[in-house]
Amino acid sequence: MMPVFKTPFNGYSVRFSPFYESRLAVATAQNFGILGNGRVHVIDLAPTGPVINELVAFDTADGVYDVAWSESHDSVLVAAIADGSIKVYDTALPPQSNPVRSLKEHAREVHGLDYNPTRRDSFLSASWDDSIKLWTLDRPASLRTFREHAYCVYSVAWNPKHADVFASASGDCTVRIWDVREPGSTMIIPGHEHEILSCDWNKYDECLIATASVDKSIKIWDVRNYRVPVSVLNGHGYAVRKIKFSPHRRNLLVSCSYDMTVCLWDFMVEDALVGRYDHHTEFAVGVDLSVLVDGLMASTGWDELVYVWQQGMDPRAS
Amino acid sequence: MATTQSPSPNSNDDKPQAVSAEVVQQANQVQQDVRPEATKQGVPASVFVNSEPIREDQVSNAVKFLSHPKVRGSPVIYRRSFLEKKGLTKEEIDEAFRRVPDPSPSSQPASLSQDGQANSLSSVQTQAPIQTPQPLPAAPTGIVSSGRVARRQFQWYHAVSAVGLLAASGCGTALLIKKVIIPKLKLWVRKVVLEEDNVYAKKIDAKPSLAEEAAAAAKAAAAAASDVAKASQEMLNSKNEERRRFEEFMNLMDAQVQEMKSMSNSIRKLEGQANSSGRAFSDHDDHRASASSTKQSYANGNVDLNVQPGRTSTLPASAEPPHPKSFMEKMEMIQRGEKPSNIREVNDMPPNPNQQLSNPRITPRTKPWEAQNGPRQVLQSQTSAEGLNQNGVDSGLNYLVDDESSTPWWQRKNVRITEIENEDEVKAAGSYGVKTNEQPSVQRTWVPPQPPPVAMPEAAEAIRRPKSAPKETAMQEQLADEQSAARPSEVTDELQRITKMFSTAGKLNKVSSYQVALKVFKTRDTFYLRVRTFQHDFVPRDPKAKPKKLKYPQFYDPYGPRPPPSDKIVELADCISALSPEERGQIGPTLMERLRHPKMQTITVEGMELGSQGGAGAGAAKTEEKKEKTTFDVKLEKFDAAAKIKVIKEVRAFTNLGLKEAKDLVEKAPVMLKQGVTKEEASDIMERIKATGGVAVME
Repeated sequence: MMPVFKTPFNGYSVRFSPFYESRLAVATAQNFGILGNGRVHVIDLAPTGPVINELVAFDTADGVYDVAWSESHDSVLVAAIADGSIKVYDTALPPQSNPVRSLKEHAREVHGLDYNPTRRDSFLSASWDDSIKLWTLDRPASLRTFREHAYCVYSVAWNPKHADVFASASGDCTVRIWDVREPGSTMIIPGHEHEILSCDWNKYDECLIATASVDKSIKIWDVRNYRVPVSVLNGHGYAVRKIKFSPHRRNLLVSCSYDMTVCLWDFMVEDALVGRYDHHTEFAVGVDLSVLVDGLMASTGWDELVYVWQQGMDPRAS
Repeated sequence: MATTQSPSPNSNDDKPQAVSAEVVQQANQVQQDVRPEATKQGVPASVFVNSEPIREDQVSNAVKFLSHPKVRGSPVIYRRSFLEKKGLTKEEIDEAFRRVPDPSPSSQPASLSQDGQANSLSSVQTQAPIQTPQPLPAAPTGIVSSGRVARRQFQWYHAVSAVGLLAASGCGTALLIKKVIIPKLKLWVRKVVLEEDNVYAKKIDAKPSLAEEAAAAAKAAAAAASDVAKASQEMLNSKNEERRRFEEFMNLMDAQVQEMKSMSNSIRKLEGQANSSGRAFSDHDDHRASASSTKQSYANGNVDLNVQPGRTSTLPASAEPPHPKSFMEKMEMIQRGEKPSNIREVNDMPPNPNQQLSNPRITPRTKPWEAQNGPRQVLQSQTSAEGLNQNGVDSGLNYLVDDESSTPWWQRKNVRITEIENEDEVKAAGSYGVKTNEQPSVQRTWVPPQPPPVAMPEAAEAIRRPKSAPKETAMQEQLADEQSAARPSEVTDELQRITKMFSTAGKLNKVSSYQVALKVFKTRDTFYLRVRTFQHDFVPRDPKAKPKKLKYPQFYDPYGPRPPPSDKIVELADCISALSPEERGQIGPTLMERLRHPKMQTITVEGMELGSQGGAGAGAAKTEEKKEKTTFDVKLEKFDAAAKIKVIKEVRAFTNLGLKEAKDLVEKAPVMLKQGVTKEEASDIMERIKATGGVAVME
C-alpha cells in the first residue's frame, strides 16, 4: 500500500532528506507556476502504514520551483522561488521564525538548486536569467556568479566526487561543465538540438553525465569523449523534465516526463527501459531517489499529488 | 591556489587550454606540498576540460559564419551560442572571433553547407528578435524546426503589413478625393464667377438686373457648392456613425463570444472533474483534441503575448504535449490580464534576517558511493537498532503479506530488483558490529609514517577534528581521552600549517592512538627514538577525511614578533634596495668578510653606529685595496708642540673634522689622518703638514 500526499498547489519538485529516511520536501506552485503563490511542504512517512504526514508547510509569495536539503544541517532546506529569490527555512525553528533568509539576487525565476554533497557547505542556484550563482548559508551574498549561457539555465548538478566541479543544463541546448576554481566553464557539450531541461552525474563514475531534453531523449555522455554519447535512451512520449542517477546502483537512473510517466532505465543494457510508472494524471515534473534507502523513490506532478514508493512496486497499490 | 595560477580560458592564444592547464596543474603539484586532494584533483580536473586541439575546418566555417553581414548585426552572445551548439570548443570560437576582422570572402558557390548556414542564419535572425522582446510561447529555440516557423512568421508579417497597407491606401484615397474634389469645385465656382465677371465686364451697359441675376446665380452656385460640401460632410459623418455603430455591434458580439467561451470552459471543467477520477483513455484523447483545437486559436491570437519564456511549453511546434485543460484556461485568463482569484498576498520575507540557524543534531552521513563499495552506514536515531537490514532481506520475499513487520514499509525491497550482490551487502551490513574489531588489526599491519618528532602530540591533536567521523569507534574515543590527558594543551597555528601537509586525518588518528598507547607505557625520550626508527614516507590518505578548514594568520610572518626597525636600519635597507642586482649579490660575501674580521665582530656585538661601522668597514676595504697599491693612507707621525695649532688647522682642512675632533686626533699621533686617497693627494697632504711643522708618512 503506497501512500499519496495531496498538495493544494501543483507540484514542481520533490527531494528526499539526506538525514532522515522518511522525510521529504515538496515544492509547489499555484496555477501551474504561471502566476500565484507557492508552498514548501516538509512531509514525513509514517513508519506504520502508508500514511504521509505533513510536518510543516511554508507559504511563499510566488511559486516554488525547486527545493534542496542542506547537507550540513539536518533541519535546513533552501527553496527556489519564481520571483528570483531563494528562501532558507529551518524546520527546527518555530514556523513564525521562518524563512530564516531570503537571498534575492537573480533577476529572473530561480529554477534549480543543488546542494554540494561532498563539501556540504555550499549550493548552486540556476536561474532563467542565464546565470548560476554559488551560495553558502552563512553569507547573505552569493560567492560566485557564472554567466555564460545564452538562455535560461534549468538545472545544475554537483559532481559527486569532485567537490569543485558541477554541470549546468540550459535552454541554449548546451550543457556546460564548470569548476568553481576557474573563472569560466571548462567544457561545453552541445548535447541536443533542443532545450536541455535536466542533467545529473553518475554517482559511481564521475565522468558520466546524463542530460534530458525537450526532444524526448536522455543521453549519457562521457566527459572524456563528449562528441558522441555513450547511450541514448528513447521511450518517453514527450519532453523529459527531470532525471536522477541512482545513489545506490551504478547503472540505474530515473526520469520523469511530460508524458505523465516516471521511467527507470539501465543504460548499460541494450533494452534500457527497466520500469515505467504512469501513476500521474498530469505532467510529472519532479522525481527523486532516496540516498538513505535503496530503491525508495518519490515523484510529483501537476496533478497535485506526491507518490512515494519502492522500486518495483506499483505506486498506486492499495 | 589554482585560480591564481591557472590561466583563464579566454586569454589562451594558440595552446589548447588543457595543455596549459595540465602544465599549470603539474606545476601546482610540484610547488605545493603534497596535499592529496591537490594531486587527486590535479589529474582528473583535466578530464573536465576540453583536451582536443583546435580543428581548423570548424574554425574556418565559423569564420565564414561570423563574416556574414547579417550575423554581424546580432549580439555576440547569440553568435557564440550558435557556434557552441554546432559543437565548437571555446578555443575554436575564440580563434574564429579573432580571425573575423580579416575580411574573408563570404561569397561562395552554393554548397549544401552554405545553404544550411544561410538557413540557420536567417533563423538566427528571426530567433534573435523573437527572443529579446516578448517571445511567443510556441516559438522554439531549436534551429531545425525554426525554418518552418520562420516561414510562417514571414507570412504573418506579410499579412499584417498587407492589411496595414490597405487601410493606409483607403485613408489616402479618401484624403485625396477630398483634396481633389473640393479644389475642383472651388475652381469651377471661381470659373463661373470669373465668367460672370467677364460677361459683366463685356456687357458694361448690361442691365443691372442681369448683373444682379449673375451675382445671384454665382451666389446660388456657391450656395450649391457649399450644399454639396455639407452634403459630403454629412455623408462622412454618417459614415463615422455607421462605423461606430458597427464597432459597438462588434463589441457586443465579442462579449457574447466570450461569454460563450467561458460557458464552454466551465462545462469542460465540469466534464474534466467528472472524468479525472476515471482516468479513462478517452480522457487523454479529449485532452489532445481540445488542446489541438485551442492550440489553433492559440497560435492565431498570440501576437502580443506578455508571457515570459519557459513558464509555458518549451517544445518544438511539432510535438506539443497535451496540456491540462485547466492550464490552458489559466493561460488565457492571464493573457487577458485577469488575475486568478485564488492568489493572495503572502509576506514571505524573513522576520529576522539575522536569525541564527539551529545547531545540526545529526552528523552528515557519507554517501553510498563514497563508501567505496563498502557496507552502508548503520542507521541512526530515526530507526530502531533491531538489525533492520536483515529484516529487509527476509521481508523482501513476502512483502505483500507481511504487514506487521517491525521495519518501516519503505525498507522492504521487491524480489525482482534485489540481486545477489545486494543480499551480500545486506549481510555484510548485518555484521557491521564487528567493525570495531577490524580496526586494531588494521592498525597493527599498517605501519605509520614518521611524523615530525617535536610536534607529534600536538600535530595529532591538531589533525583530530572536533567532530568525530561517523566511523570512529569506541576504542578510538577511549584513546582520545587518554591522549587529551597526556599531551600538552597548546596548539599553535604554525603547527597546524605544518600538520596540514600530513592531512592524513583519519589514518593519523589511528596512528596517534596507537602511538599514544605506546607513550602511555614509555617515557618521552624513548618514544621519540622509536618514532625515528619509522622512516616511511608513504602516508595513505583517508578517503573519508573531510578537508580541514584551517585558520591562517592575518599575514605571513616567519620571524615572529619583533620591534620596529630603527631609522638607520631603514636607511641601510633603502640603500641596499637601491642597488642593482649584481651589487646586491656582492653584499653577502663582503658582509660575511666584514663580520668575520675580529675587530668587526666586537663592533657589531656592541651595536655601534652605522657610520663608524661603515667607516671601519670601508677602511678595511680600503686597506685591502691599498695592499694592491691603488689607494694610499696618510699617517701623522709627530708634530711640533708649538705647531700643534697649525697642524690641527691643516688636519681640519682636509678631514672636515670639527675643532675638537681634530685636536683629539692630532693629540693621538701617530694616527691615521686620511685613508683611501690617491698618491697625489697623499703627497699633497704630507707636504702641507710638513710645512706646518709635522711629520706625515704615506702608507
